[in-house]
Amino acid sequence: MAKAMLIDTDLCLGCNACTVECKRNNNVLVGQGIAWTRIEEHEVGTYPNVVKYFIKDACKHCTEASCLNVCPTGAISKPDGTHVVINQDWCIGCGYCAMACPFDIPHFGEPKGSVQKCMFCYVGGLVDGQTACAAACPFDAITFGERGELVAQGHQRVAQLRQKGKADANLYGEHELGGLSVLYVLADRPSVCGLLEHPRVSTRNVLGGWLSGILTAGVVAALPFWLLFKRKERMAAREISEGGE
Amino acid sequence: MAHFYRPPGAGVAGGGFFAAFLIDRFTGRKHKRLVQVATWVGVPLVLLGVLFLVLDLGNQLWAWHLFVRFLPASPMSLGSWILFLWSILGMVLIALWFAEMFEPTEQPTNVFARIASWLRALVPATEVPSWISFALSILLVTYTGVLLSNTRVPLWATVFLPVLFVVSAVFTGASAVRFILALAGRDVPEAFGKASLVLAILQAPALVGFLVTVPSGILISGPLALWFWLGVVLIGLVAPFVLELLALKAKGTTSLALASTLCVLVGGLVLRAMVVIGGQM
Repeated sequence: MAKAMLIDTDLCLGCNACTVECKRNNNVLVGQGIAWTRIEEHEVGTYPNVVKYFIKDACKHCTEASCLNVCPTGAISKPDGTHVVINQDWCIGCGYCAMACPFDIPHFGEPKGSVQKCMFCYVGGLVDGQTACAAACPFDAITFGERGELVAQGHQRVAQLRQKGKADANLYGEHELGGLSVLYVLADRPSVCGLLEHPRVSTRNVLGGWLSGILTAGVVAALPFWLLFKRKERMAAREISEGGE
Repeated sequence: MAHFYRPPGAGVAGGGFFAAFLIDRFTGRKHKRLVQVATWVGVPLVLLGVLFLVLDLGNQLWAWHLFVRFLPASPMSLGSWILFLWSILGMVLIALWFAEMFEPTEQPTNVFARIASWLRALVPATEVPSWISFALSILLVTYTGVLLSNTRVPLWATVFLPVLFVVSAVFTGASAVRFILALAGRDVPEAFGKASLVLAILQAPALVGFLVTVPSGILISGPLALWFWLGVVLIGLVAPFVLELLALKAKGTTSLALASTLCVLVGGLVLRAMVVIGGQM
C-alpha cells in the first residue's frame, strides 16, 4: 500500500517545527536559503472577522508528476512507484522541473547546484517509521501512513469541520493530478489557502505542441518557398519547352 | 534558467537551414551557396547556444548527463539531442564541402589537400547528412516553443507558441542568410525578398493567435509594452514589410535588403526575449 501524508491545516499553528526537523534530518544546509518544507500564512477576512491559515507547503508527490515528465536526464523518478525523488548526484540543475511544477516547489539552494525538494525523507531516512516533519509536529497536524486510511481520516475531519460551520471545508489532493501523496484537510477553499483550485499537469499537450510546430513548418514550406521557387521553376521550364516547339 | 536564457540561436540556425535547403531543392540545386552560408552561420550559433545552456546549469560539469539517456517525452532531452545531432551533421557537411573545393590529385601538396583527399570518398554520400539536417532543422525550430509551453507559466501555455516560434525562426533564419549574402555583395535570388514578405504576413496571425490565447497583458499594455510594440511589431514586422515592398518596386537594392533583414533579426530577438522575460515576471 502506498504511503502518503495528511496535513490537517485546522490543527497547524505554524510553529515551524516541521521546517526545522526536515532540514536537520535531510541535511539541508543551513544558510543555503532553502527549506524543503515551509509554512505559508494566509490571512482571510477583515477585522474583526479574520482567520489565518497555516499551510505546510512542500512537494505534493503528484501521481501525474510534471517535474518527472520534463526532467531531461532522468534524475527525477519514483523509486517506490509513488514518491517523487530527485537524484542529487545526477541532476544537472537545469531548472526545467522548477518551471514545470504546477505548485512551484523545486528550488535551487545557494550556491546553485542540483534542484531540491521534499523527498519524504528518502535522503535522511524515516524517523520511527515517519517522515521527520510528522514525527516533529507537536499538534499531530501531520500524519504519515497508508494513503487509503489517510483519505478516510481526511473525510472524517472535513465532516467535523463542516459541522462546526466551515461550509467550504474540503479534502485537497484526493483526485488532483491523478491523486497527490500529500493530502490537506482545508477549512476553506483551496484558492483561499494558497493552493491551486484545479491544478493541471504541465505536460498535458507535448505531442500537440510538436505536431503544431511541424505542421506550421509544412505550411511555411508550402506557401512562400514552394510558390515562389518551385512553381516559378516549373513555369519557367514550361515556357522554355513551349518556346522550343 | 538554462534553455530559457539561451539566445535564439537554434531558431536562426534551424530556420536558416530550413529556408536555404528548400530554395536550393525547389530550384534544382541552383543555390547550394545558400545552404552553405546557412550551415556556416548556424553551426557556431548552435554551439554558442549550447555553451550558454551549459554555463547556466547548476552542475555544469554534469552536462554530459543529457546524452546518457534519450527521453523523448521531455522536450529538453529531445531538444538537447536535436541540437547535438544537428551541429555534428552541420560540421560533417562543412567538412564534405571543404573536400569538394580541392581538385582530385594523386599527390596532395599540403595538409589540407591531404585531408580533402581522405574526405572525398564520402562526398557522394552528402545527400544523407543534408536530408537528415533538413529534418532535424524542422524539429530544431519547433522545440523551443514546445519546451516553454510545457511549463506552468500562463504566458507560454498555448499551442500557438510553437507555431509563432517556427514562423519567427524561419523568418529570422532566412533573413540571416540574406543579410550575410547582401553584406558580402553576393547575388540573392529575387524571390527571396518576396518570400520574406510572405513570412512577415504569416507571422502576423501567428502572433495574434499567441496573444489571444494567453494572458498577454504584460506584453500588450504592461511593463514590456514598449519593447513589444516597438521591437516586435514595428521593427520586427511593419518595417521589414514596408522595406521589402520598397525593394520590390525598386527592383531590389542591397541597402533595402540589408535594412529589412536587420530589422527582422532585431525583431526576432526582441520577440523571444520578451516572451521569455514576460513569462518569468
